[in-house]
Amino acid sequence: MKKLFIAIVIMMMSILPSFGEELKGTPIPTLPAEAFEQVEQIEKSKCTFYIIPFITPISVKYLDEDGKPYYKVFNTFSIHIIY
Amino acid sequence: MSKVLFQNSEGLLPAIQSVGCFFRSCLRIAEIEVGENLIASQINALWKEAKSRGFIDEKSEIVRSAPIINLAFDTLGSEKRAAEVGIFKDGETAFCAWTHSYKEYQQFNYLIQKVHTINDHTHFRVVNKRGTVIFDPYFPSPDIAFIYYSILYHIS
Repeated sequence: MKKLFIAIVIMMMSILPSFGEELKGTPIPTLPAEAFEQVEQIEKSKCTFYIIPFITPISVKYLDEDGKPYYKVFNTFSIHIIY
Repeated sequence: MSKVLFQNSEGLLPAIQSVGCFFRSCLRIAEIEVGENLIASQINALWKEAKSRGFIDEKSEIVRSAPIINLAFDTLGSEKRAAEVGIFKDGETAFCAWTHSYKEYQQFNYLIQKVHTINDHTHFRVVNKRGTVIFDPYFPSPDIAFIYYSILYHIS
């Protein structure tokens, strides 16, 4: 009986390391280098900004010598930055 | 504040004293609006300026009245502007065509009334919306035989 117990313990000891190795050795999937490049490109694309020029006409009221109103149209230039 | 001068007050040019009732009425609108009175030298200078710029012709008749009011505004240091916006005649008001695009200009503040005196002269004076005389440029005021019409002015 005592021999049997020892034999079981030995068997267990022989099995456990293999379990341990299996647990420790669970392979972490490694991404290929191309995948990292893609990620970098995505990161860079977040910082991309667009410069959009706008020309907006505005009218300004004037009064002539006779006090009559007239309007002059001016084009205003502005830049909108979107990123 | 200096006293209100009439067209026949001392110190004014002979032309103003004799035929300057319309001119003096124009200046008075600016004075009332600003709350200051012009002195004789300023009135004389305005007459000369208005003539040189063609607002008064060689016969000393007013060709364009609103620019004269605006010259007075400039002299008084005001940025206000007067515009001739219509006429009131025979109980009817007719606005200038350009005011149809600018309805706010159909609100008028002052009128200059052209009248005929009992002495058979043409005369001008400033009246309000109710037709009450608020300034007669000649002292003493002449008696009126009848009214020709009133010119409407908008101040902005």
